[in-house]
Amino acid sequence: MFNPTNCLILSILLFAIGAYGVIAKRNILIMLMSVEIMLNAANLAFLTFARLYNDPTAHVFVLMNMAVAAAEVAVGLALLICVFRHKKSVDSTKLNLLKW
Amino acid sequence: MTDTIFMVFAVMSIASAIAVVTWRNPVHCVLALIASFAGVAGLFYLLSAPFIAVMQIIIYAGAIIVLFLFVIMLLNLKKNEMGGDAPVQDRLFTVFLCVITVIILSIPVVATFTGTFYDQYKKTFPKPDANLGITETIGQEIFSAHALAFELISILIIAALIGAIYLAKKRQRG
Amino acid sequence: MELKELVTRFIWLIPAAPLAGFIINGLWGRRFSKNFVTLIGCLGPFIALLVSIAGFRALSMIAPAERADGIVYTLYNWISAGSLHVDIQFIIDPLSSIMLLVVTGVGFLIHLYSIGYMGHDKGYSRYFAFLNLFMFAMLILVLANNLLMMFIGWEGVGLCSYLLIGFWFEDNEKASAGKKAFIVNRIGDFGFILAIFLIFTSCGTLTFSGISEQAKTLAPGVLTAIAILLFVGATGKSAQIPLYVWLPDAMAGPTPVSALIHAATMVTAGVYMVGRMSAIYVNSPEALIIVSIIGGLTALYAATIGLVQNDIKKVLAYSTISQLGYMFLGMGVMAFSAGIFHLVTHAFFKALLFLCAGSVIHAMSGEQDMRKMGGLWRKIPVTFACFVIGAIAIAGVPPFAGFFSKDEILWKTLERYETTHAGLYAVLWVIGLLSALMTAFYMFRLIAMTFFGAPRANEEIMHHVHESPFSMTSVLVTLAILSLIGGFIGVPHLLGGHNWIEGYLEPVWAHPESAGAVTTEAANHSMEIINIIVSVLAGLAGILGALLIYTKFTALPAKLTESNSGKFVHRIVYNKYYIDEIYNALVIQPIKYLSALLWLIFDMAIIDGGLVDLSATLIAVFSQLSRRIQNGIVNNYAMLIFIGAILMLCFFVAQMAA
Repeated sequence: MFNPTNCLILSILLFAIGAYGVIAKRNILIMLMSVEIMLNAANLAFLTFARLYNDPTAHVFVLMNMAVAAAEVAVGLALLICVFRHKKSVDSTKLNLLKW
Repeated sequence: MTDTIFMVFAVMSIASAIAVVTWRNPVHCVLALIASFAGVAGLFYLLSAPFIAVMQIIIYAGAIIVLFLFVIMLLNLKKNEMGGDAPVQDRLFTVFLCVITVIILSIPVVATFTGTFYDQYKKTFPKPDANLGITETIGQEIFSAHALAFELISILIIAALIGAIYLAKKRQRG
Repeated sequence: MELKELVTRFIWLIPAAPLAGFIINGLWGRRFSKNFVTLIGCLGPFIALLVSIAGFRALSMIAPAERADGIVYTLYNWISAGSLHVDIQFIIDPLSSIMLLVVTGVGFLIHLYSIGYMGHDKGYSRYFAFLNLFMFAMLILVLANNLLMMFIGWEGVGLCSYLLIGFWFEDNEKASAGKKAFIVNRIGDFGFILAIFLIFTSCGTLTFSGISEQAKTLAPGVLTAIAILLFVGATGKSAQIPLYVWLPDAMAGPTPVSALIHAATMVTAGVYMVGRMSAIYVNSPEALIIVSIIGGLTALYAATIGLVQNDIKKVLAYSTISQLGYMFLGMGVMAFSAGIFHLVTHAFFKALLFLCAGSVIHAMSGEQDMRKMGGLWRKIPVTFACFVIGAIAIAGVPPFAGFFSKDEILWKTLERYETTHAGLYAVLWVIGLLSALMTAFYMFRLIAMTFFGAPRANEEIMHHVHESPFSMTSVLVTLAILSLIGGFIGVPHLLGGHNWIEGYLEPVWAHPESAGAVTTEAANHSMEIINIIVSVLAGLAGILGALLIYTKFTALPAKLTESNSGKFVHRIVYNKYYIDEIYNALVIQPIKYLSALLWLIFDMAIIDGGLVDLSATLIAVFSQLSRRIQNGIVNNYAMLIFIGAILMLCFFVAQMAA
């Protein structure tokens, strides 16, 4: 039996876990993974509403979302490699030049 | 029956997501991420979106995870290069923030879907549309109403591709 | 009418041309070749001179009755605030046209002279830039049609004076001479600006024509206050008692600067200003008396100091102060035309004297002490001849320029003898006569010491003595000719002339009775003749006395100063009556102590400690707190974004619930 409440709560939980990962983890790799979890949570919410309203537009949105996520991961990981070459570390606290 | 399967997938995705953000070793994290993605893909299927579910497996569990693994292998991180976690008080504060988020976001959800609206919904739309989520519907939707967005996404991906190659490329000396 | 329109359209060129020269030479002068700097530097004044001549010509084509309104050109509206309206407005009327010709003419000649004089200086382009800036400011002062614009020029010439006195700023003494000039002028300017405020509050306008109209309606007390405050400004700029102290020190600048700024043009700005404000002075007899007394006293006082100075430029400086006193004496007896007339002739012969002195100094390899000169006349004959012409002109021997103007002032003073305050004007006349005598005496003392007798300089310097280059001597000759014939613009009626300058300037002055037409009465002729004879005799006596004492009886001065009483007097006069020391003790030291006190109490304790440091400390404290947010770690920024998102969610949810 389809219950939108459960699906949405699940989506919220996944989102919160992802957010925790982005904020609390100091490993850039895992921060990127957490971002993926957050995106998944958003996709889940989209599909729930698609089901609720019988609207295929949300499906298109999810596909776009995946494409953007793929692009984001590609660029993000390339940047990570770049950073690693300079700093020999993937620790986000080592990248504190933003304060100057 | 459906509820049981839903619960299995739900627990699977949540538990492995928690594993991703708590474990230290990136390789383990990636493996947990696969499980999380798989769980979410199952949920997608349950939400009558079989095409998206398959895409989830192919793109996320296939392409993105492989990319992560490649990078992890490429970097060959040592323990002191990995970063780890924030200090305890920061993590507790973050947990606090996340709990608040969950509560705040749950309020409208619960308020909406347990009231009269949900009862009405159960009566009027008990069954999903048969055509929802099958490849043909999505294809027609993409190439008619969202053709422009589709083209733009392709440009974005090309840009990301070029950017990624440029960034990751070893600089020529001199 | 063609010419008038043309001139009206191009008045702005008069100040703008030197300004352009200043900007070009000031910004890029170091990179230009010397010839190009010279070209740019002299072109501006030359253009100004041409336009001024055209303006003068256009003005003389207007009917005399309408000349007072002049040729007016409004460049733009400068200030418009409430009842205060000030335009950038130029005026060429008889007064400013005469002044324009003097400033641009003498100014251009001195620019030419500077080419030779400053040729080897490393600050050549800087010098010309400053000189052009001075021309700009002076022309703004002259062309101004309102007091505020005049004040801009007034301050501008003060600034340039400071810059040029301290031109060789590596020398500390010269730099502080510049500062002294600037600060003393500031006191006078303070009076001037107070006068401007007072005029604005009482008249409600700052244009000259407006002030002239309103002047009669003002209360006598206000008028006198305005007149005296204006005169305070004039004493500063024109080096009158008590603010004259800066002018002798100003001789530290290059000699052409002394000639242009501190003899011919800037220092006469005070006289010009009093002339412009004649409406105020005519209606305030008390102020006129003060002006004439100060003028007369300054003339006498400076002349006495000039008698004993040994520095060639110092003698000329005190002579300038003395002659400026003469001009103010003329202004004070309402002989405005005579005052301006003396201003013009003085510009010719004093510029000539200074430039000749410059030529002498040039020849003597920088020596300024007359005791180390002597016997120069054979070696530098052109300079000598020009110097003698200048000296005769200043001594007041007919038919040289100085005779006519000086005689005019003396006569106008004597004429006032028949009005009220008879005794006062008689005394002033005697003072004027005495000053004339002394002027002749110290000028020829200077000539005798410099050019006659045996050379007192050492062999090497004497060997180097040479006549100045053509660019300098040609200017000297031009000015000498002007000093010779300049007086003929104002030959009195008595001597068969028709006093052109008086008639030309007459429309400008406030009261017709201040113009000299009344002097033609037959009853006064005998008096006037006596006056002429006495003043010429005084001049000749001074000349002869000086020549005799300093060429034949050379032991006499030494004997005089050696004697007990003579020694005492000489020491006092030689040290300029110790005025500098008195000012130092009475004014400068108390101000220094007061400043130190205020510095300790207000600056250090209250402002620095209480306000500045406190605010800085507060900011530092808050910064210490807030810098923790800005730690550069991405995760923290992400957290802040997240917190912000949560707050927004709270808002939306709250709105949904409502």
